[in-house]
Amino acid sequence: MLLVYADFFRRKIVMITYLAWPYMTTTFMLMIGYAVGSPQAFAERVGVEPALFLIVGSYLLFSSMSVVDDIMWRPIFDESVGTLPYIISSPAGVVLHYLSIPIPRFVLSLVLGLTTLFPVLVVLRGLSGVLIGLIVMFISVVSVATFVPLATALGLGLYVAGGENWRAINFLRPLLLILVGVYYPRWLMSLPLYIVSSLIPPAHCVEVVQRIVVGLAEASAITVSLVLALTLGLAYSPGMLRATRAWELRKLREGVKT
Amino acid sequence: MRNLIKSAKAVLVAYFVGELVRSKGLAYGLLSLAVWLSMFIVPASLFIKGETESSLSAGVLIGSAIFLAYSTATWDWAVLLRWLMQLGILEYVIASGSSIFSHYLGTVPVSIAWYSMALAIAYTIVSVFLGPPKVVLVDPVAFVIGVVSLLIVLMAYSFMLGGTLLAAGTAGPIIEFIGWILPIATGGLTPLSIMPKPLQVVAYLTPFSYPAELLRYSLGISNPVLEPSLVVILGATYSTIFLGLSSIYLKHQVRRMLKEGVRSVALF
Repeated sequence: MLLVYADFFRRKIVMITYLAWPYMTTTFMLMIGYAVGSPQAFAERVGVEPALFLIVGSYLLFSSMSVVDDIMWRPIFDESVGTLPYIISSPAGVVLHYLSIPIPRFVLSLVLGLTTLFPVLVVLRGLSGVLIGLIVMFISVVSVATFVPLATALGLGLYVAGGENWRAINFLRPLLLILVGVYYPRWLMSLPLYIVSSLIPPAHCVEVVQRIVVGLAEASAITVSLVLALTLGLAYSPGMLRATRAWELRKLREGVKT
Repeated sequence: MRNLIKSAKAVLVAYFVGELVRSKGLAYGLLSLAVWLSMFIVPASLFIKGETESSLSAGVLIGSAIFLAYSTATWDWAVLLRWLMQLGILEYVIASGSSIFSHYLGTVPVSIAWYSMALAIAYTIVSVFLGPPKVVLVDPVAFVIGVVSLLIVLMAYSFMLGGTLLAAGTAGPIIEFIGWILPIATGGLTPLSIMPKPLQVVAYLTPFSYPAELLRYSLGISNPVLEPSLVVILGATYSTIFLGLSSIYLKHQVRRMLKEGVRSVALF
């Protein structure tokens, strides 16, 4: 954990860009939206002003990406810098290593919540915005936690199937995030897309967050969605363990590329 | 000159075979682009009530085209130098006597092919989710000048970024950030006329805004804030000066690197 934080604070530009990304993508999307239509149309269809919906979406996107990216890219990074043989031969074990990767990132995603959600929510919703922000941040942590098993299983599974191909990861990442529905509410998705996205654990958490922001949330629906996300997260855990072990065995059998 | 063309050809073949064919970079790259574009363009449909005017879809298409052009200049041209440093082969490139510009020249044909395909994907996505864009060539001369000055500006920008990479070594997050902020802040994404006044001034102080304004004007999407003839003159002059200055800057950084050695580059 300390190593991640030290790296984060030492590389100031990484820290600044990390905190600025949600604002950047929100501005980007608002500009496209305002160029083709009106915020009133957005509010009528979604139920809330676009700036609020998109900043929450951007926060969910980057808090997910900060964790999922770290997991999916870590094998390539470790292989490139030459630390992979040490990780594989470490007595801690590869599974434990990958399970520990998201922990420091959870805290960073909370910092991102403080800098992204709170200023916008307080301006647009007043003091009640603080409460909404806290709820969104809590659910986002649950969301990312449920995402870890699937992301690890898919990432390491891909590496086992086709070698360390960052291009495949670059395709898989945004595809998962589209299906999760960070920028497009799931309740407006077509039925086939909705069914596919239901298989991705964080999609349920993201929908809960969006319903809270829009004001459509009911306590029972929130509970069901969160339980569903956690159940799916647990259901993917054996896949994560199997993919991690298969990847480790492959490395032990074929060696680490230099 | 003959040696430069020979080196550029070797770079082209190596890049095409290694990156696009052997590692399936073309297929993965286009798939990834389609997904990223969809992620940002599809939600724009939520802003539309009823039918979209085809000129508005055309505006989004041109904005996407300019954004893609920036991405190409950033990731194909400027980051190429970073990649050479990362792989530890930049020293060998320089020691071989081959000009660093041969790498830029060698990747241009691949970039153009890639850009054309990316544009086709953007057209499809905009057509499906926002409506078919209506692009009409209103002023062919302004269009040609706009395209040429955009190419010059992007080449100059990649020289500048490439030189900065040689000077600073690691700069991955900065590159990624600049690649996004430039088209947003300089009127690449949306017409300057709908941007706030202070941003218009900032945009016109950079060479990036003129080609974008000319392209939109020549394709009948929007009128520039300044007189079109003035935009042509200022755009052509500014982009040429920018290219000259950035070439000098890149050469200076290469000379500096020969004195101080090649910087180490982190993966991210």
